Amino acid sequence: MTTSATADAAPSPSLWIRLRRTPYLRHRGLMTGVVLTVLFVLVALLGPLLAPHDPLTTNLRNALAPPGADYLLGTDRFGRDVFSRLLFGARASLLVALSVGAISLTCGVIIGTAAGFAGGWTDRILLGLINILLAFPGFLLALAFVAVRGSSLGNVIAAVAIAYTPRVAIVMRAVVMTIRPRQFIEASYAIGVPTLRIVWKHVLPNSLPPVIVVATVSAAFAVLAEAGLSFLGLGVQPPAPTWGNVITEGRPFLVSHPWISLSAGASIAAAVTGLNLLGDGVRDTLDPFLRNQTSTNIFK
Amino acid sequence: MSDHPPAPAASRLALRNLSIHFAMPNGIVRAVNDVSIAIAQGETVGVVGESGSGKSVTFLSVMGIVRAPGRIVAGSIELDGRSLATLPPEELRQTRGRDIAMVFQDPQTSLNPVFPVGQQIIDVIRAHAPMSREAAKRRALEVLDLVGIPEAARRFGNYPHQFSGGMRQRVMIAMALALRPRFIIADEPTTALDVTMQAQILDLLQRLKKEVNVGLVLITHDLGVVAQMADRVAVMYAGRIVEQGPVDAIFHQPRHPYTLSLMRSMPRVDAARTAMLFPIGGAPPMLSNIPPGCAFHPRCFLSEARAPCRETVPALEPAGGAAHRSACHFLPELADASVRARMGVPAAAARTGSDAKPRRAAPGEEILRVEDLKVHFPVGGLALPWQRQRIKAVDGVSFSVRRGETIGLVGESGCGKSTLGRTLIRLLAPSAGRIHFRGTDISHLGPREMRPLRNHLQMVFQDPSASLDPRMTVFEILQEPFLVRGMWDEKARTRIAELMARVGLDPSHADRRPHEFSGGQRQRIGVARALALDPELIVLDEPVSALDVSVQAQIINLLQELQADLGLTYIFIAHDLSVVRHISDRVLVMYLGRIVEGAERDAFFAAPRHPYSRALLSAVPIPDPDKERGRGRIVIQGGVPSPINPPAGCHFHPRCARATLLGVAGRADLPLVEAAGRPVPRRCVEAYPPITHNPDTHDQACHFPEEGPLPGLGV
Repeated sequence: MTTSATADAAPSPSLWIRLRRTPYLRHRGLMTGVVLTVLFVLVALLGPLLAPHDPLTTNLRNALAPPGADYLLGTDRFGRDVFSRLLFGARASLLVALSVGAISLTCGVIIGTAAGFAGGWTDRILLGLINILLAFPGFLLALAFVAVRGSSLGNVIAAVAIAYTPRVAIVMRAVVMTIRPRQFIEASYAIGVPTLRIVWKHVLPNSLPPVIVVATVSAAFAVLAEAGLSFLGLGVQPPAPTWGNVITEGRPFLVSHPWISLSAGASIAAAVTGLNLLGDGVRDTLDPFLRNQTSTNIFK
Repeated sequence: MSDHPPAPAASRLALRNLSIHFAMPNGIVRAVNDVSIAIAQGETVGVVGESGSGKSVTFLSVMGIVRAPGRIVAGSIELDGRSLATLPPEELRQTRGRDIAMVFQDPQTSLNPVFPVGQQIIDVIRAHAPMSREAAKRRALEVLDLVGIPEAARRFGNYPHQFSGGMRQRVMIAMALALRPRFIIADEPTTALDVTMQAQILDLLQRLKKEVNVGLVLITHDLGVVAQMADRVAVMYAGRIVEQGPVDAIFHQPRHPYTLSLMRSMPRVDAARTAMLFPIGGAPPMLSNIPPGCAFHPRCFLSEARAPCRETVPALEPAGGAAHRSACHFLPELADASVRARMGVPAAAARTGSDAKPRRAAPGEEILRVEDLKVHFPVGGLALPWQRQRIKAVDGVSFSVRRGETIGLVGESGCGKSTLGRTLIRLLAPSAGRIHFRGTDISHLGPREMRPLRNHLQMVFQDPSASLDPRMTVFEILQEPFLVRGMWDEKARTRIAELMARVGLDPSHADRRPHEFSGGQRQRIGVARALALDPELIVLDEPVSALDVSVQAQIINLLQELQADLGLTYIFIAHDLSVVRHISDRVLVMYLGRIVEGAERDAFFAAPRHPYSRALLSAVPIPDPDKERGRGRIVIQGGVPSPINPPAGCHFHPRCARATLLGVAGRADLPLVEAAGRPVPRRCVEAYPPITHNPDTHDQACHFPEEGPLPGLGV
């Protein structure tokens, strides 16, 4: 019996070989998403080192200069280097994206797990709250929050996180509800594993992948929401640069000096597209249905 | 036949040297290799094989529904001498369904849930024959009637979910018959059904074969079903036919080591048990990685890794009769009695004689006592609490278990046996009644108070892949019981290696995850986890029913060994009476939440008393064509009624053959009433029967316990 066990279990290959066999490297959208996101993060982290000029220094003699060797993306009406402002602005965007992703993931996972695992009245009450929040368009909710609480980076993060937590929670709840009736959960009860440990060790690891995808997408929306709020003057306050207020500052010159708004818009588009592709790609490659097509079990 | 000149000559469906391969990213899956087989109209060919033997794909190709990466790489499929591959697409479409129809395993997924069943049959008819709606409807009603759907006209507009599993499979068969096909391919048509439903469907197929003259291809893993139904049998292994011949030859003189091994690895409901089963070592090969030479040689008792077995694929050659062919390099050796004896092939006589005594101590003191246990579930979450209906899953069950014995708990699905098992180890809370474990009342202990007792009360689940956390390694899975009790130390670490070795796993595989193991090995992990804390009583919930036949025997043997060595007490829940006969000391039969019969194993199988037990036992197909032919069968009608509103009086009376017979007998002392469309004794409808204790240790719940065997049915 021992020999048969050795014979028919597959050998355990190295991580790289296993990665090569997975669909990750072959998924074009996923790879594009990874490249764009990595670029976004690098720019935000290394921005101060890369920036050729101080983003806050005004130089009215050089106002509205076109893109050139000295000012890579031209200057705005105060003569500030647009390229440097974008590099610094990436930091605000990344901070908002990461914070919102982390907060909505943490809160959403806790709320969703509680609702999905406990069931009954806990579920009904939490689901009711989630549905109330979901009834508002996310951006409007964030707008209202900032309008009441005042505009600061912290409030922007809180506002967007409140708007996107229910989206993570509702997905988490649904996933947990599919994990809870599975037999290995029952088997854990049978060997006397305490409920909290079951949630931590068995439910969470098995339900996180799809939720991480949702959190990635909500991080993308956070970039967009921060830019939107800043554009309306409700986000990070000038003169501190963010992608949103660079667009606002370029708006009067959209026709005569389009590079100011366009380059900021392109940055937002690239970051959001990157995060979205990353999320979608991860979902595609984790999706059991798509995965089954490439597994050997084709007869079932 | 020859008396009817207009009748056309019998059609023939032939596969010639068919090979189907699937080009997958990590290699070629050789699903079907050089398969040749012919079916004539009016005969039944049984195709037997374990999962992954290529038997389904072979015949899916006849229907032209092999999916994308799959391709017919060689050979042809011919209907009356015309190759289907050369037909124009439209003609090919017409051939499928009209000439050859298919019945799938799971009637639940093969019927479209959003259309009424009648409509679905009409659609099939009109897709093939230019016919008015009315004519198509007439034909649909005709076939629904033919397959035994009661009140077909009324049920015509019903949706699939309004039918029971067995009825849905009848609808599928009706759909297949609607266009008067010449051939029906039935792919595991009864695997998803209870044994009583299976008996009904097999009965129907047998009758249809005679009435409508179809050629039937019956794909199954169940040798009993084949023995009952087939005229000819093909045994498949790793995408090849390894043996083919008339049913009697295959069952009485199997001439391939695989067929032989398969037969002796199966426990049988009609024979006293041998002490141990003879399992086939290892697991069936992956079709992406078929061993070179004879695919069976790594598991073969005859091969001994001789060169021809390792190097050359054996061809099918005549063995015995002209139509009996087997693909083995050492055919003559197999026929030689002395070689067979040397290889440990048991003589046929070994099966008879009295039941071999298991090598373990006699049952000891009482370990578990259950008193009037009830488990009710409220249904309808939106209704007000006092208006909710209750599913009476377990409804008043009493029995006791002694240390070291094995209780077999049997019944159709929905009878409450799994709920009972889960309640015994307190995964569920009872609604009423008492459970005493070693004298302690555990029926109302909270989760925290139960935790120390869980060391002694364990469970092994049906589906080994579902009951193991896919993200944990074997080590982590086996470590968890120790961790949660704060018993994790160096001693426990060596204990894990011991456990793995004990259940026949290689301890060096501890860092692998469940998906890297085969089904049988996964169940070994499940057993090891249950053993981790030295349990005394283990509830085994259908532990082998998800496994291949050849692997089943390995697990059953393992369970028996463990019981003998560790003095374990088992409650063995199963629907397979053959396995129950092999492993149990006592048998409890459940029906709709109650125990209807309880008896010592030998007494039970020699002469079951309760009419339900008799029906259940007579529905089990026996893997012996002679016995099958000489056998009467009590086919009980209908399915298990809803446990929300069980029938009044004796729950079994609407399906009971004894009640029917007593109703017909019209005895003066028995007042009758009408129930389920026939007269039955009034007592059956008025009160639930009390349990009577027979002198020969049968306890049964029947109003008429003294009635003898049912006349004319031989059971």
